[in-house]
Amino acid sequence: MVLAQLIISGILIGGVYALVSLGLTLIFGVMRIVNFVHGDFLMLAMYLAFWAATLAGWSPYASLFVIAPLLALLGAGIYWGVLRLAVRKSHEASILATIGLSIIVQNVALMAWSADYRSLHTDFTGSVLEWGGLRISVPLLIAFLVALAVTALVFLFLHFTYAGKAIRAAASERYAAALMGVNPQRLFTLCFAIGSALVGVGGVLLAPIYSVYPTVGEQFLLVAFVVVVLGGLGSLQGAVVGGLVIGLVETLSSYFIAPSMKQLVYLLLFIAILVFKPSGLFGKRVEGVGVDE
Amino acid sequence: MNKKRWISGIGLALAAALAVSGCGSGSGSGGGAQSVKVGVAFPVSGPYAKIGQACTNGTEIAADIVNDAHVGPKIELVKVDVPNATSGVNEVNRLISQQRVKVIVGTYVSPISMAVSDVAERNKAIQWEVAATEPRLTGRGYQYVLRPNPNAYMYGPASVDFVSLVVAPKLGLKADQVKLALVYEDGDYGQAVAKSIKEAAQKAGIPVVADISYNAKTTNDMSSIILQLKQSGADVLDLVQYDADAQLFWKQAKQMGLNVKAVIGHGAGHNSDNFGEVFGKDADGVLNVSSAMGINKNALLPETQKIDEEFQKRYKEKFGKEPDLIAKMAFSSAYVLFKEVIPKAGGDDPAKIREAALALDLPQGYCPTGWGIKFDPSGQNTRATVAVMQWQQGKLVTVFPEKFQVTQPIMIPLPKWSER
Amino acid sequence: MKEEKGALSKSASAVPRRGLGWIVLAAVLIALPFLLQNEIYYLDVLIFFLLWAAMAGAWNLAGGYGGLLSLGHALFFGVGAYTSSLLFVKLHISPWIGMLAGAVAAAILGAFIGVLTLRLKGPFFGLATIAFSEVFMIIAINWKDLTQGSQGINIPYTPGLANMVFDSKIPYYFIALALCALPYFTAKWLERSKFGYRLIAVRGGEAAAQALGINTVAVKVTILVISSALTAMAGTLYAQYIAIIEPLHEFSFALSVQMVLMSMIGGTGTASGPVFGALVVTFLNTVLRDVLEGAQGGLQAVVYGALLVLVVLFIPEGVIPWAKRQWRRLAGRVAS
Repeated sequence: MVLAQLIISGILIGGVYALVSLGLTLIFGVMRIVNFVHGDFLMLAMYLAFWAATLAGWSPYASLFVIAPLLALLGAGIYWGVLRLAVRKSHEASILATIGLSIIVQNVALMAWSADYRSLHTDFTGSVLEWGGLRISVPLLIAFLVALAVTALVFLFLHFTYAGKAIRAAASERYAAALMGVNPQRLFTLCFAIGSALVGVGGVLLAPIYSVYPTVGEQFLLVAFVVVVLGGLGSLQGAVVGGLVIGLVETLSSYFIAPSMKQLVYLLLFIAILVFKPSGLFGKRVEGVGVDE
Repeated sequence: MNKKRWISGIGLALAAALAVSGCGSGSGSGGGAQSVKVGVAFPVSGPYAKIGQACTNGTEIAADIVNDAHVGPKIELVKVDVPNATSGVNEVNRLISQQRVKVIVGTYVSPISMAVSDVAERNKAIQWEVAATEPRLTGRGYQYVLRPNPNAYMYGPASVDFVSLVVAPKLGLKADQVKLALVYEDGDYGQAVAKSIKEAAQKAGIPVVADISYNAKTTNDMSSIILQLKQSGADVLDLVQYDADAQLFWKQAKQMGLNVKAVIGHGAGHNSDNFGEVFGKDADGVLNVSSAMGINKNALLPETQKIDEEFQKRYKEKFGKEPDLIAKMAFSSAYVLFKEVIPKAGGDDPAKIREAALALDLPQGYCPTGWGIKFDPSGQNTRATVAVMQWQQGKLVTVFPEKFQVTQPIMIPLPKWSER
Repeated sequence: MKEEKGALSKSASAVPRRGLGWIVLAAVLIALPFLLQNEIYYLDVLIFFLLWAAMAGAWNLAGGYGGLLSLGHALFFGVGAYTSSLLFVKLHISPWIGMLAGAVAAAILGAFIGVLTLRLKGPFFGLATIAFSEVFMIIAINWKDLTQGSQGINIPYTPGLANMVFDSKIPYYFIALALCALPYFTAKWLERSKFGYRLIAVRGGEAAAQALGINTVAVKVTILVISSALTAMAGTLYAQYIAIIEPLHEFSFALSVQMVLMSMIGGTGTASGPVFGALVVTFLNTVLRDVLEGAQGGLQAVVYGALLVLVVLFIPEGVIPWAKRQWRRLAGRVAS
């Protein structure tokens, strides 16, 4: 009984992690950008959902369709304006740039919206499905289902549209793709935009679940990287499976070992994956890593 | 060779620039008898910003009230941001040497206060604490650190007394039959208060059936904790949590149907106005051990009742919202400094301030939080009382001890979630 | 190649001029704290500047010269701080010895991590270092019996040379100065030594270096060991100066990032880059604090972030290499 509930909880939080990591796996996977501002985009989406609900009464499940594109535009702008130039120079430059952006975004949010903790209430924020003694939080369930749906959509995009195939091509064989007439920078901008839209979806869905405050992104950033590496860079299925695995590992070790140690467990797991199988579950063998190959 | 010249040049230029700007800035003396500069050092950016801002606000109102009453020299506040220990040290050094500040109110975050107190002590400047609970702050024999607020060791006994004297009887149990579970964030605050609770529980013979700590920053899901609690069969749940985790926990407690007979928070997240706003009716019944909020007016001295009202009024006017408990604590602490100590010391001479502070003998009920003031030689206020409050109808009201009580505690035992 | 010849032929006649530059600099550095004796704020700023420069310089040995982009160097800083503090507070061992002990502990840890993560390239190595740093933070928070948990360790105010606790800031300044000089001169040595050449070869391309017969494993582990030891020593000074250490700060990502940032701003792979980067950041923060008069709830951080982004966009190789290029260009124009 307890075990069943733990597994359910693990899967649900795993869904949250998957949702947050979808965008990152594209960005990190395709462009090898260690995107430290990822968590802060999540935070922005959460705030936008909060304000849309508070000021205009929109349900997050509706404002989703406005906020995701907004985040996409933001991502495209940031990539085109800042990261594109950084990425050309070196790895270190792109890391520095995303860290700088993260500091800027967090503190602008702090100055604009203060450090108060905001909470978004919807009709079913607190509602729970009960099923034979097991309890499933509805907002979490919705987030989980949407994560699956979005993964499927993006998967279709990547495999059945020209742009999508071009992105996949550029991810695995950069020069060959360029030779085939693919403009890498336009592609990367699109990719960053999609990744940002995905994290935007994540933020909106998480707003009814978590408190919203300027540094909330930090809560999810490291986990997202763990999930992405576990699942395999660039693999959407990997992000979903990786998220579920980490969610389960976290919840089970929290119960059977200690809540204070749960992060330790998945960090050690993370190190083990990096050392023994950096390509993760679904990723291709990582030959060289770098924007410049 | 060019590089060396560069470096030498820069080094010389830097030294020159610093020397020159040093002469330029840095206002004159700390103010004569007419005005006194007081440093205000709280974290207003970074992870502690929300509470730091509330503390700054509370301190400001205290200065406003005292200045308008023309009690002593005018209090001029010099505000700085100290988001971490390094900035704390930098800024306090700056206040002392550039701004000639000799009294500093701050910092509420224990590690930052520890670092700042060292600078203050070495330079014989006063650090006037408002909320940090680290016992060692006043446990090192320092002469220049004064703490009007309670320290962590005071929380445990107050909380456990409440359980023995009020909760147990209402549950029809003897104290040593009450099963206590403890859930706390693993930062300095959580660990210190939890330690205090555990020691007090042991003394009272109350069994602790669960001792669960977690990292507030990285905990996105509390279901496993809640399941553990369910398994433990606890009657009373003691919590030490910050805002975000307190809210997540309570949300999930409802979702997962965690039913315990009493829930007792200890400051921080459960003090916060956000808690009441977010949960509305669902917050009702939650108890909170901390300095008193919503205290029985009769427990306060008549003069203090008026000051408390003025504080509420001015705070709302200036900042557009009601003050929360932490703002009230900061106000109470700063008010004592501005109203009672600085005028008696005749200025900001640290030795005189310490003397004046140690000489204070103000009864309980002097501060809006219910504290009296009587410092022991270590700098800790021995009359820093900790009370038990409860969320009732979206507000925190004091329910224990009797002389502070506004109303009786309700909902002990707490109704099950399904029956709310 | 042309550059090297030029440098070699210059050195003979440049010795007297170079020597003069150093003497002036040394005199300034030694006199400075005494001139500023009563300005505790400026001394404080200087001490932190030197400390950050020491840390950035130490990181730079592995990160800049070695190409090992560690994003978790706070680990070594924390290990150094905790080792010396625990030895001092629990066993009453002088922090001078503790500093060395910390360096050794960090070196061992660095070797261990180096061996484990050798094959990881670029961002993966960085992520692994972040993970290690977090792991130690969690251990430090939870092993309360050893580390006093989140409440941290307080260094008692007991002034004395053996205790490395001083009333005046001046001794701290000199220790910080020495710690700043160590990585600087180590870098200089790297630039001219065989080991250094091997290191640069490995950084340029591991496969090629191996083809040349270089034991890339040994080289990488060695530089990581040196880097971690020096970082740990800075941790000890920090603990002694600020007198309170706790896991959240000493193992924090922000601290790791700061080391990287300062090196990048000044120029990784150059000896004076980290010093310059530390100077820029410290100066900027100092000025901002004065100008913004505190309590702006984040504005200072926004400016800091903006600076990083600007440096990346316009001077990505770092200020020192950029400045060198400008200087050479100027000199070239004048000559022709």
